[in-house]
Amino acid sequence: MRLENKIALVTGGSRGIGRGIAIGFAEEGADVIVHFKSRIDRAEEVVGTIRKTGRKAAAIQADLGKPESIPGFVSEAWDVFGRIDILVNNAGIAYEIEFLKMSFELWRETLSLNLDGVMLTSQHVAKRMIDHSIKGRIICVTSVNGFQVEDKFLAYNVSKGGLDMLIRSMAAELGSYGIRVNGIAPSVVKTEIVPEEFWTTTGLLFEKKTPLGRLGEVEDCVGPAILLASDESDYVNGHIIVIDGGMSITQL
Amino acid sequence: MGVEEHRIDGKVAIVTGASRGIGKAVALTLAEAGADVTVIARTKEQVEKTAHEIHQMGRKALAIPMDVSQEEKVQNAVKQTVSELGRIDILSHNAGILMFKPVAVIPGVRFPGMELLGDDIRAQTLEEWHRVMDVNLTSAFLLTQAVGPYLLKQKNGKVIIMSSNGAEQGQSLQTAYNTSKAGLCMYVRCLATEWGPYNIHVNAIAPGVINTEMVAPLIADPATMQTILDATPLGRVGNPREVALLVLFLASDASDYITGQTIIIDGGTIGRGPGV
Repeated sequence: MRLENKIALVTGGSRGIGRGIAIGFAEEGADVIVHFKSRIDRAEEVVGTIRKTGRKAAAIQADLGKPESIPGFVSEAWDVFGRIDILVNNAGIAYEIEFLKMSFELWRETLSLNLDGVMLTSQHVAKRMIDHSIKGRIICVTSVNGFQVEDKFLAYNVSKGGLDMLIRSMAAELGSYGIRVNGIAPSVVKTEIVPEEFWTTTGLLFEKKTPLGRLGEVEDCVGPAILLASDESDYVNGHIIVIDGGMSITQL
Repeated sequence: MGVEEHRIDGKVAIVTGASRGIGKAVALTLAEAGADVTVIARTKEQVEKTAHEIHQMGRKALAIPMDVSQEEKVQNAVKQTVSELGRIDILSHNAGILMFKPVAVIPGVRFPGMELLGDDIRAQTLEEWHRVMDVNLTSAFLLTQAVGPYLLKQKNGKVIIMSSNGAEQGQSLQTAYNTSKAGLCMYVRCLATEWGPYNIHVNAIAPGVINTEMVAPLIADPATMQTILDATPLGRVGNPREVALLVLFLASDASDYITGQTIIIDGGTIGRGPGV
């Protein structure tokens, strides 16, 4: 029970990696606030699953791509259990489009959620952590796309590259308050958000390029997230753990 | 904390540098998590003491005092591990030496950090360079080559190499040490690529300043310590147990999709970069 009685907020917690982390944290003893944007049914499923473990959970809706939503969202999330010890910034979007055909709107939308949304949520949560002397944890779900190029994902790549620097910058400035900021960077993870055709086309190419010979599963991200949320990683700060079966370290 | 959730019962680990500091903490932590351990370091009394502490936990320990830069000794240590402890699953290589040596000197020369040298200001010799490379870097090749056939055959294994956050930054008087540690990070990437199809995970850990005998001169000097603390967002040095828990994470199935990586544990220093 490495997260006993901790309160965690997981953005984009209704599906995929966010869902896996939310449930994984509950299994380690945390109570969890599950943020969602539109899939209330999925968010409630996650809340139900967490409650079955004996922990408490609540779902809160917000569009984190809209800056004006965030102060109210953080306030509402904080008030559920009266504190937040662990913030997992997981909500994000990725559009596939050739650079030369990309619209400015798509670029802006991607940065608004993946970068602005993470920065603003972290800023508001961090201020409250400091006011309440909570030596908290901020974990950002970034991507190998933050440091290596995936063609036709330019806006996403840039948003994750920016997020990587945001993680390091926040870690540098928040360290003296006892708040640790780190990231996890998966490559390809099998979730429902990825279109079906991917697994029989591009997915196979990624698999061939991966030394461990398989694509990622949600479970692969949960262990490292728990590590970064728990006291045993107290001295890990400003680091991004890459979870990709070795894909990014080689040219196969 | 962290040990119960990362059990490695039934596994056998070889731990080098296990006489003190990080290596000793690793040997004890892996044993606490359920592994039998081969304890390797140069000093016989210290190696046996670590092995004894592991016996007290109810685990098996094999004490092998030796120098990890010697090919034949390394090969024999692995063979002995398999014959006496039954198998090999985890290699945790922590042995390393740190020397502060200028590359070249002229009368009246001043380099950053020279206070640490005291009166002995001599240029690094080729022998000293080789010594650091042999113990820190070549040893990783020798050890992984020796355990390789066993891990490849069973299509399972965890290799954890202790690098340093010095691998990521330029530091005066540390050409040999930092280069050897940077070499380890690249070695890990190549070996991870080679062994990935055989389900063998190869990773490194890059600690910052950890409170051990190796860096005692740095910690003891107030000015040096202040420089270290100023550069560390968390405002403290690390302790060996924290690094050992990270080794355990990499030795357990919680890290089954992580390979070829260097995990930095330094309070945020490298993340910050030079910083202003």
